[in-house]
Amino acid sequence: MKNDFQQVVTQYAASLYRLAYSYCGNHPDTEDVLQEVYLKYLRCEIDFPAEAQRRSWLMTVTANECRDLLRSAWHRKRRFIEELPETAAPEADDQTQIHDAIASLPVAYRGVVYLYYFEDYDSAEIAQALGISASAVRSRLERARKQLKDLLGGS
Amino acid sequence: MKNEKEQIRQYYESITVPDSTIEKLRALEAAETPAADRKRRSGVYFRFALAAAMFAVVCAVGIGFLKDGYLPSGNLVPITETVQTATEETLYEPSSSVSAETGLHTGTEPTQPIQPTQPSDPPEPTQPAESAPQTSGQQLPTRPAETGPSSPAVGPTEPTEPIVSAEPTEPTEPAEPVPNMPMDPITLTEPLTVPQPFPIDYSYYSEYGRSFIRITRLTTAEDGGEAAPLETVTKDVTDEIIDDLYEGVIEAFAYRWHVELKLFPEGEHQLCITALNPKRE
Repeated sequence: MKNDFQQVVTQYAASLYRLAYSYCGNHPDTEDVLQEVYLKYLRCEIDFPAEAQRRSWLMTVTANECRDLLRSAWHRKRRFIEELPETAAPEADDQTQIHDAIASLPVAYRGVVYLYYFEDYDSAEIAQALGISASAVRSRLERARKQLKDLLGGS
Repeated sequence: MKNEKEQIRQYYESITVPDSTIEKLRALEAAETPAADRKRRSGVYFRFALAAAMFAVVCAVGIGFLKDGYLPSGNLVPITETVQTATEETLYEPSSSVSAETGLHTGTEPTQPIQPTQPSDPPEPTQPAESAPQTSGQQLPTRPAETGPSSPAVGPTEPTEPIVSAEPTEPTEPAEPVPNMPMDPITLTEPLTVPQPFPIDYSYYSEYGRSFIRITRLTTAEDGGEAAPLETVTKDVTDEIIDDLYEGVIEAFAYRWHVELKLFPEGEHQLCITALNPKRE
């Protein structure tokens, strides 16, 4: 049991929430992912010697949880009511365009984009957090950047 | 691209964590207490213990059935209930289908040995069903291991009086089981036809003069009335010729006769066969 749980929630909830949201694209799934992440943190027996390791562990677990959720059959078969054509928002502002552009990225690119553009991680840190190689991070980042440029270039 | 990067950054900054989510996350600590963890683990242990208990019960029931001699096929026919010790005066119940004086069947049910004097000996014989040919299949009787050299034989040629007055001269050993022959239940649909003469050589058995074999032909409802014995023949035999008796008994079964084979080597043992499958040879 972690004694510093409240502090960890306060410190990392926003970052983890944004990372999960970049994967999931909606708040309910993001909230579920964060609950699972913090439950795993409560139950884990790891004693993190440094804050960076704790942060990296949380980021990795969050990315894995998001990938598991997106791979689940339940997630693939259900649609939110907001996604239905009859209930979709008619107007789209810049934020919505960016949201749609990021949401249109492959799942493997979303975490890379978030960690690079918002968390200012370098490729090595992203590779460690997502469990992939640094070259894979760079290639995914390059492809995501190109796709976003195509999608947001006209705005 | 710098503008795009700034847009993306602003987009992520716009994503804020709802307060309700923060409260839920903070409440996780209270929910995930050591007690809750123990409760979760105890639930696992409970399910494991429940499964183990159910497995043990199933095994116990199965072993109990096997030890009690019940067939697992659902017939629930005792296997070892063909040998019984009985005293002279308790061989037959007054309400039994066999008269105590004459040894004849008086009812529709076959003879029922009762009141064993040695509970530790082999179990009681099976109580057959209503009609001998219609009862469920049973096993052949087990063969006694050894018997006393002398036992008063009563009426080797007397057909109607059971040999119940034989006194034991020395104790006998428990019966040695012989291979069982499973019998299937049958249902008589036509009147019995009894060949003449009887298919067992009585004179052959009578020379041993200790125990007896009694072969009774039964009638059924198809014969024009309630099932009742038509004729009974009692002969003295000894267990030395049990193997020969088996052949004779089985031969009698082939003619759909109700057969009782009673051995009184010491006046205490009774080997009873009732309602075997007459079709089996």
